[in-house]
Amino acid sequence: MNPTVPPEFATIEGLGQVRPTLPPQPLAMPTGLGGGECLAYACPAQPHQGCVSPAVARRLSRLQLLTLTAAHRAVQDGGGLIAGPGAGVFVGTGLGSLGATVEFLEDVIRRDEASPMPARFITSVHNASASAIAIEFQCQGENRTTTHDSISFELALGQALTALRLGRIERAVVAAGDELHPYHVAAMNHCQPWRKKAEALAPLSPTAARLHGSLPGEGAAAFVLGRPGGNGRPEASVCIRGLGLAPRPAADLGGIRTEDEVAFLQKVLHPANATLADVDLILLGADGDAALDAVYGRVIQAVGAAAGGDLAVGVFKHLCGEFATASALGLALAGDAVRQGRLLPDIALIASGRADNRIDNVLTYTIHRNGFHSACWVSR
Amino acid sequence: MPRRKVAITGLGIVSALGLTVEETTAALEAGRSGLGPLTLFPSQRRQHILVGQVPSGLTVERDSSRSMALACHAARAAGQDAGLADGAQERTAVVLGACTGGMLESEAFLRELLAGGSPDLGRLRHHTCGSATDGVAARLGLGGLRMTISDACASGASALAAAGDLIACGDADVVFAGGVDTLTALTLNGFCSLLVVADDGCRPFDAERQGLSLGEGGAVLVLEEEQHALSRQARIHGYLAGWGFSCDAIHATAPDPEGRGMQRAMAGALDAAGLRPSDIDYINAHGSGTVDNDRAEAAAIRRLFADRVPAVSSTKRFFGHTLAAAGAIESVVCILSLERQRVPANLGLREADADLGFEPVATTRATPCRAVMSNSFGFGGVNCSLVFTQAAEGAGR
Amino acid sequence: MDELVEQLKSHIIRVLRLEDVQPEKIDPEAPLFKQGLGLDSIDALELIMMLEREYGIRITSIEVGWKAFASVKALAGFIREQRDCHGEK
Repeated sequence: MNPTVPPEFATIEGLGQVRPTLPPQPLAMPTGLGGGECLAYACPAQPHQGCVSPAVARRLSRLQLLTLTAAHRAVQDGGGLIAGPGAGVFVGTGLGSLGATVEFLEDVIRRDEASPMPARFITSVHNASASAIAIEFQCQGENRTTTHDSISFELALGQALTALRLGRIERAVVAAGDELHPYHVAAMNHCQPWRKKAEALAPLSPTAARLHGSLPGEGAAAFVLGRPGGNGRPEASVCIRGLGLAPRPAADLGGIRTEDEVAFLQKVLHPANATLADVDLILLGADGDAALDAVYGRVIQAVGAAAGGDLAVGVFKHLCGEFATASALGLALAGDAVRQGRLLPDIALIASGRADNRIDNVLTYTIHRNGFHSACWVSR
Repeated sequence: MPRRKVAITGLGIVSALGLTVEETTAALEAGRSGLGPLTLFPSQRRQHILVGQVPSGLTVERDSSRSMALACHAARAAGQDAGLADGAQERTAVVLGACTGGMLESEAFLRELLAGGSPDLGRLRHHTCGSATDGVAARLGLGGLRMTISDACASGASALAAAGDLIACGDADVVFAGGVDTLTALTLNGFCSLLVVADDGCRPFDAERQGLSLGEGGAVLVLEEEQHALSRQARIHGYLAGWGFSCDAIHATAPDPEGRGMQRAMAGALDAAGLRPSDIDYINAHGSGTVDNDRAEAAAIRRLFADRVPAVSSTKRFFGHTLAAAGAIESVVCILSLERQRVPANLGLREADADLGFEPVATTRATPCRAVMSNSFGFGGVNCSLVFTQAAEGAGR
Repeated sequence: MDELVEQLKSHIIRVLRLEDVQPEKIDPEAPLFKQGLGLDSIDALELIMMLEREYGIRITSIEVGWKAFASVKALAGFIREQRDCHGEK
């Protein structure tokens, strides 16, 4: 094996996204859960139209429709077929098909367990999305679903990279998504991180005044990954060259040391023989929460210093709100920017650095509230 | 570079058979089923079914959930067995399979809400599947990667495979890996809606089988890179020698009737272990007791092992089908078979289905075991097979 | 027109979420499964639960379901037969 080829090395052959309709709309909370409303970033009611056939769609949950639609777009973008035992499917989801689960359970409780309806149960399992994608594209290789709050997508991506690296599969569909649901929003509201009262009705803005908390959203992204030199598209020149996931003490934003973060990012770049000076754009998972923004701000300053200044810094969650697998949309935007070689208008710059130049390399970086930090290195 | 071998240095298990490896072993030896009445939550179905409920004696701490308690109980036992003291294991990872997470507690919340109450939202704090994994890491002081896998009924096996990958690739030296699930109204009514729950308890591979029985539990195995284990003179129970995966990709719930995907998962695990079918001495089958699964799995075993089918049993009537815990619990059963050179009975079997092409193990008995296989198959056609080998020299090559 | 047949058609469309199917397009004599509407085993289970909910008829095995669901007309016949056996619910 060529020692200069980093282990986490996969080509991005296709990308697909399903994003919320802008601007965000008010979402009412159930009265039993305190009532009230906040702005929420919701995808179209029928995200799959023109993509997934009605015969298939009729029995799928919202999450399945979101992820399957993203997968369709990625497969189409990647030039077509991925079927067979060499095609794996890897899905990350924070909460699975929450709506179908609630629908099934409420029915069971209200009817005192009389005649429960099976289709809702089947779609309620966490791996229902991975299953639907495998059936749709005839992917008979390994089929894995990871669910661990906001690192669900990163774990799925890691599993896919490992399976590609070990040669168990030739190509992978990696998808991630979560669906908006009032119960989840209410439950999260209880322990933070959403905006309260009047502030909850101001959309996320990369440049707005500092507010406490973020706003909920939903969406999905999917990738067709291949091995360099594999049977995939030879012209696919965008690669994932590094993935890092580091545990840090949970819920201790103040305790984050910038030198640790710089070292972590350098470690993610190292296998690709890259340094922070090679970064054309760093795309942050910042979600408008002032407390989190402050930490990102400190880290970025240190990263800028280590890179020799002039770092272009972008954010994207004003497009989708906050949800467990939002970082998958971030990676899709990063991949698209590298493929097009330019900054996409969707990405909002909070520091312009040398962004007027070509974009060949993007580093995504997310500080997760569950104590993990993740980064992904996408380049030509 | 030689491949990093995955040694198993600790076992922890909690199920309807008891709270320790010793109680589990005694029940397997005695052929005593853990199935009994459901008392964990209110249900109209109590009169009609048997479940594998964990006996009293399990402590559910404050700010915890039953899932977390099961996982922590098994993980603590595994850590102690491995001679790893609690705390300060900065690089040790935790990988668990989970399907229901804190659903049991969320269901109680929902019942209260639908009855017109205003339940405390804080009770949903442990809802997610990852909560038990985080709980194990926090309570045992394990500071490495945390990962939760939710591949339906293959979750536990898939988690062990993911942990094996971490060690084989050099991403971790020690991993606490396993699976956990509790009984819930969601899964009970869900499987009942599919008409696959047997009234008098599951009878895998029996001619008159009527379906599965649900159970709950947790099992955690300490997986350790071989040199790491040897350098601290840890006792090695056996090796996780290979793992294989596949997906049928034909239906949301039903397996391929021919079991072609199952066969590929088994063949993949053998291939990864560097073994041939004839090296396998025992298969702990998925054997859920549903007509569809048992028929497909038997077909897959027949084709792969041809005229040399090893000892086969499903241990689902001992434990019930513990969903995400099943693959981990059955891995412990496999390790015990390697250590004790005894294979467990296919409990509940009265007359084997004539179409199987093999006769499942009737009673727990002595059998030379150098390499054994565990099958786990789930919704969505996900298949995962694991191969374990003996600690002493023997099957490995 | 057989009212039970018409009622069943609308239940089938609703329960199975066949949003693009018009009731008049369902031939009461045509097979419901495989051909025809292209339904599968999960749909059969959904219809079994629908029968419990709407008509109080319990089917405990999918094999019985397959016979009952040969066509909409056959299903109507099955319901009438069950009612005759057990009295109107």
